[in-house]
Amino acid sequence: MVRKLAYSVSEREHWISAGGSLLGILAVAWVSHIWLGAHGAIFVASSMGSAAVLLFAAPHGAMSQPWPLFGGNLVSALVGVSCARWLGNEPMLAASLAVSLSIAAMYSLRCLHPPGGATALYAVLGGETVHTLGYEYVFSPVLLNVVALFAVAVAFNYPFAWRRYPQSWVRRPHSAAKTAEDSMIPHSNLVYALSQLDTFVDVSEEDLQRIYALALAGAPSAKPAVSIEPVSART
Amino acid sequence: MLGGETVHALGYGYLFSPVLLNIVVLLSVAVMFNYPFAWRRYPQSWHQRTQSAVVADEKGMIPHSNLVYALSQIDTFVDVSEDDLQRIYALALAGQPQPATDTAARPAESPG
Repeated sequence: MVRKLAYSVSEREHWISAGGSLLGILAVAWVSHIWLGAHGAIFVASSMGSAAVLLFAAPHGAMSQPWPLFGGNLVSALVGVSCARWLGNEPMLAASLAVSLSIAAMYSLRCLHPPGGATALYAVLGGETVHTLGYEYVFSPVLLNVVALFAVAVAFNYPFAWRRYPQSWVRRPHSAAKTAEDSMIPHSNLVYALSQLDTFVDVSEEDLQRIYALALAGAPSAKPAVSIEPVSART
Repeated sequence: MLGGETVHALGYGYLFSPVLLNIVVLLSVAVMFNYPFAWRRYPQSWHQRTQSAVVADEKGMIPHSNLVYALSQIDTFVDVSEDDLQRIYALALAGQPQPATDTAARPAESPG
């Protein structure tokens, strides 16, 4: 387990991820500045930093998809503000409950999104400015920020053919997946497998199918079918 | 820029005083909290693969190099560990419930 599998990506991906988040946060800050400029403050929920990591560095992740992004942040903001309001004089309890209840809420709404925890925490620990907002926090920085970040993520990932950002918009034009289509694992079997693991796995089904199809097809299949394989113990 | 005066006043102390301190506390709680739940092996690297499900299907495992190849083709960060990928595959192939009684009394179900 020396090499972490996930880092099998090319260097190109590193720079695209970094560049995308630069544009994403820039847009979030800029939109907030325009919109809330009257308040004289650049208002960005700190959780946008972690949302940007998901959207730009792991655009295929289950946690990075639109519903987790919107649902996760909004419901957590709601939970966070409620905790801040009702337990305002017990900040320790309020902060921990905010995170814990938002995980519960996100799970039940099927929109688990790590930055949601930060969104909830920020509602409690964000200081006076955030407290005075009350439930407006849900819309004014949070929804506004999320919309800006999402728009940039969709537009930015679009030109890169292998990064299909909202995965549900994909029409599967990938030939690699097609060729091995018949070796695909039935959906119900994957559901069963994940229910056995019984822990959240941050991959889309499309990616799981593609990974297995590609892995089974084996490495450089560019070579003709002549088997030059050395003594390979095929099981 | 966004953390306010308190954070700015810390300078690089921010790395240690809230950040590292917070991480150490959170990590230790995560390790302890997950420990009693057998299916949640938190630091995955500390896990000696005691899961019988994997061992049983060890033969059906995909070679490491093939998975590396597959992920390099996808070329986008995929947030799953190799262990989990192998287990998911093994379980998915093993298929549904592995009935305790071999008599297939299940309703019409298309096998893979």
